[in-house]
Amino acid sequence: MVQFLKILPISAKIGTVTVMYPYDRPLVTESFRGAIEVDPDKCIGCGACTRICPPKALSFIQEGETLILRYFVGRCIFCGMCADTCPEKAIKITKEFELASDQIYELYSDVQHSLSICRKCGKKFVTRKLMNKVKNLVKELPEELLELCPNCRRIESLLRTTTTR
Amino acid sequence: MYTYLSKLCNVDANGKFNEVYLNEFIQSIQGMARIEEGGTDFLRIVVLKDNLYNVVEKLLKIKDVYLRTMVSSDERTINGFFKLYYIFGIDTLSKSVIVEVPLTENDLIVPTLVNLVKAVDWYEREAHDLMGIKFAGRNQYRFVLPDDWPTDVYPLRKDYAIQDLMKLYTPKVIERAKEVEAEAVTIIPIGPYHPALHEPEYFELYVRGEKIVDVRYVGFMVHRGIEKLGESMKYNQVPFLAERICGICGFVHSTSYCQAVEQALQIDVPERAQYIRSIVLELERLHSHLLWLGVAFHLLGYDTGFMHSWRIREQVMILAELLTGSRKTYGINIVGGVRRDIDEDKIRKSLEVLKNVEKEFKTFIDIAVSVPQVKARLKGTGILPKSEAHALSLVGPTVRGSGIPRDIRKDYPYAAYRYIHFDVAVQDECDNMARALVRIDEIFESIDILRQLLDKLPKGAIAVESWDPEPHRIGIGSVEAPRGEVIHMVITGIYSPYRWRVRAPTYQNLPAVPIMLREIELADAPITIASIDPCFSCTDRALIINIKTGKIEGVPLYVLSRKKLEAVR
Amino acid sequence: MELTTILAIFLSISLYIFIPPILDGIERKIKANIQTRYGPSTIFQTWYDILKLMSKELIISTEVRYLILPLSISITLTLFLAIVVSFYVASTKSLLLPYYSYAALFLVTMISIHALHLLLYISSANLFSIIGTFRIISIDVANEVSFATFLVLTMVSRYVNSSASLSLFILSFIPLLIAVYVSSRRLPYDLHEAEPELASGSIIELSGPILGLYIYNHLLEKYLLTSIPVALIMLMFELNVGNQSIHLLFLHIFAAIIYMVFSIVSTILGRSRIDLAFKTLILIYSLAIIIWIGVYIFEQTL
Repeated sequence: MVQFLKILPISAKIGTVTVMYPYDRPLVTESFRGAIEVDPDKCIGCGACTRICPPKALSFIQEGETLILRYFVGRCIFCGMCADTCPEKAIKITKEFELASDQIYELYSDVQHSLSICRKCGKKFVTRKLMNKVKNLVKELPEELLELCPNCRRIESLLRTTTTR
Repeated sequence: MYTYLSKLCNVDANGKFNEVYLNEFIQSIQGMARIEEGGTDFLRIVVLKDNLYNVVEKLLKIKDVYLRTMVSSDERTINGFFKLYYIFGIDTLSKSVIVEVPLTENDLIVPTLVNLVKAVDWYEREAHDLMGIKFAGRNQYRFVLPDDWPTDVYPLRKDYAIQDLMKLYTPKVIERAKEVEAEAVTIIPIGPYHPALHEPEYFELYVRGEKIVDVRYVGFMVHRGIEKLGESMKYNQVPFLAERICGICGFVHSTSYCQAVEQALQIDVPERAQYIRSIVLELERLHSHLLWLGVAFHLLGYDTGFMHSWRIREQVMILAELLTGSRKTYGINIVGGVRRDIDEDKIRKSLEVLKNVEKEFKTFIDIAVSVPQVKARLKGTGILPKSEAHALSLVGPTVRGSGIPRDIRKDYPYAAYRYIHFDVAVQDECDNMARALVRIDEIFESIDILRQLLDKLPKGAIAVESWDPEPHRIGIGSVEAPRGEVIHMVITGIYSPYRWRVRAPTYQNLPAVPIMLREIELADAPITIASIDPCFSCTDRALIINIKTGKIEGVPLYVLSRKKLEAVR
Repeated sequence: MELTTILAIFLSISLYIFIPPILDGIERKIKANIQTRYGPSTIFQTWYDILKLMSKELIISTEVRYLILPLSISITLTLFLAIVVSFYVASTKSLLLPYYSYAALFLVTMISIHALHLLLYISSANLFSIIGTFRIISIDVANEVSFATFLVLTMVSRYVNSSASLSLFILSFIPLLIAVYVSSRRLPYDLHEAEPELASGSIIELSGPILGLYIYNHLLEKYLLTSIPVALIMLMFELNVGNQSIHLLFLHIFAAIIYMVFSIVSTILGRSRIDLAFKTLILIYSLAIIIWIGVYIFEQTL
């Protein structure tokens, strides 16, 4: 009947569970996923992360001769798919979650890449780093076809195959 | 009770009868319908709309058949038809029956099934609103979309363009603004909020003194168009969207989607991944039921119970963060498996936390349920008779509190539930106390299930290496969420789902609320509505309409509030 | 009357004016402790809340213009009662009238204060307010009558000339405390303000300075209610412990202790429902009266 009184000794034993947050222990465990950090040295600008990002927080912006990989914290859902997908393992998941700010430009972080230019039509189509990486990985590519954008490369290959007859 | 016992003894008497009935049914519809190959999990029957009523009538003769969901799909780009899929489930055979009705574009009228199956009411209204299929023999009015939506614009069709909507959308408020000679109008939808609920629902309670006489429900204030959005995302991006359908039970939606795609493409998920999915699902059930208990105590005025049960829940949340990386939106599901593993250290910590939670919860719940006011107000209120529960095809603790042992984990086993033993919590009294006791029993069951799963975790990969999408296959994924059955149906496309249908359990359970609310006191309305554990989520938008130019822009509320803040500065 | 006595009365009146919100702050801290959290940061939080409410803009809708009148009269009566209680507790030696007339004065003033509150609730035409008012009227009908009855029975048991006087006194004092608890509108019976059911119930139309004044009045009246049984005991037994000012100290200390015990009780119970509340109250009080009469008759026949 008076079982409901037993809550009193339980509360007395437990004390207070409130955590005085900024001055007390940290709130996150070891597996917590927070904001990401893109390493500018390792990133080659392939764009795999921009294609897999569910809310499109990572995106490419082209400004003149530079390709910018822009990370917008405001859209990020901290899923970590970009870190899983990056072939160079350039994306690191940190434990940062205190990201609020009253200036929106603080929520953008950029990694800049210089672009290679197609030597025939002048279109900028891929970053220099990605091109160097492909050059190193695939040794059998003929030199003349490398510095061309896909359209020009098709035309050039066609010309080569028809003129070698 | 009998079905439950027969399953326990492995005799499956009803199952045998139902097998016989099912074969009889297939024989009897030979002339009217065509049976298609659907794999071992479901039976696909294609029927013309004239024979639909007869086929469904014959199907309902099998015992324990209930309507799981109904999907309307625009497949004109594939085969030129609109299609309606009625998905029925036979509990005792663990089989689903899909009745498929193809319709041509100029003949979109289907006979209504509302007299046979009461539960099909909402589905027909939704198909009418969003896809434009008319049902003969019943009245139709706006259900999901707002009242001033233009009549011929149907959002879920593949040829829907937002420009059509912009041209035809004339909110009623423009006439009124012209009357008062205003230049611009800002609509900020703030209501309707009922003081008992913390989310936007609209219940009209007609009271006489303190007794409730009748109830009318209007919902869909926060329709976000997730099904249409999913059609434009890739296969592995959709689980993250699915997780955000619900703020408390998100993981069941992402698991259900992944299971639907895996069934459609016949992907074999490794066992370790299935165990990990089940572990996280049970953790979610734990935290959801503890949350519900806290909210129920708060609605009864017993705030101490609220604080203590959420304190116990906090340990579960921290454990979930340790195992998956986030407290709520876990983000570990992808098609073909999971993304994060559980190592020995984490298993040890989980067992510790479970031991603590069980001990504290046991002492706490004995105290809380014995508080005289809590006992007196939960017993005998919000009665939901068993016959009504069966007729409305309800799911989850709502129906288990009325004596029907329907549980997807036992009836249509998925993930790792085939490999463990547990009991289904059932109570017979049909009142609020019964539903609360079902949830309390399920908490103890979940802790037991978690111990079995953590014990038996097999070694192996946690995801399939790779898989290839094939278009135009059907898959159904269903999971027992804390609130009931979640069922997703996916028709696959090339890079993204062609049609994705989400049916949350509260959609199926809400028609039961007016029945529960009849002839009870006004004071018991909040706890009765909360006893089905309703789960909605909130978002809102302001529309700025310029009367002179007729231009309409949608502006998110945060932009409006920041503009105001800058004006004040 | 000596100077020290007058000073003591003055001190007691200021305690009546300033202590109730501090006691409410302590109550909130106790409640938070039982719920394993911190609660407000200091015990003066209720004072800060009342002062903040007083500083807001005064907005009254035109249909409910008369809200301030019952509130002001109610505060006046409460303060008057505080003065009377302090005065008569300090002068138990030299009472002009027999003590039961003072008890009658306490009772009438208390009931008038509650009636004025009812007037306050009714004057707002909101549906939630009306439902809340009906609830509080039903509870008050059961409770105020019992309050008066047990006050009378306590006084009668003082003059019963037998050995059972003590047991009769206890048998009527405990229901008196229960009546005081219900009358202070604490948790099992705070139905007029049930937040999940009625969105602030009876006081839904009050805001700003009026709400601040209402809260202050409510706290003062709660404290006064707990000090009335203590004052009654002191007056009945003609307590005479040295200096009269010591009486006032005892009055406040014991009233504060009873207030704390009530706050612990309200934390561990849930909210009742109107039909259950009415039935429970009638049952308890009728049972108590029957037992009292039974013991009285039993003693008389011995």
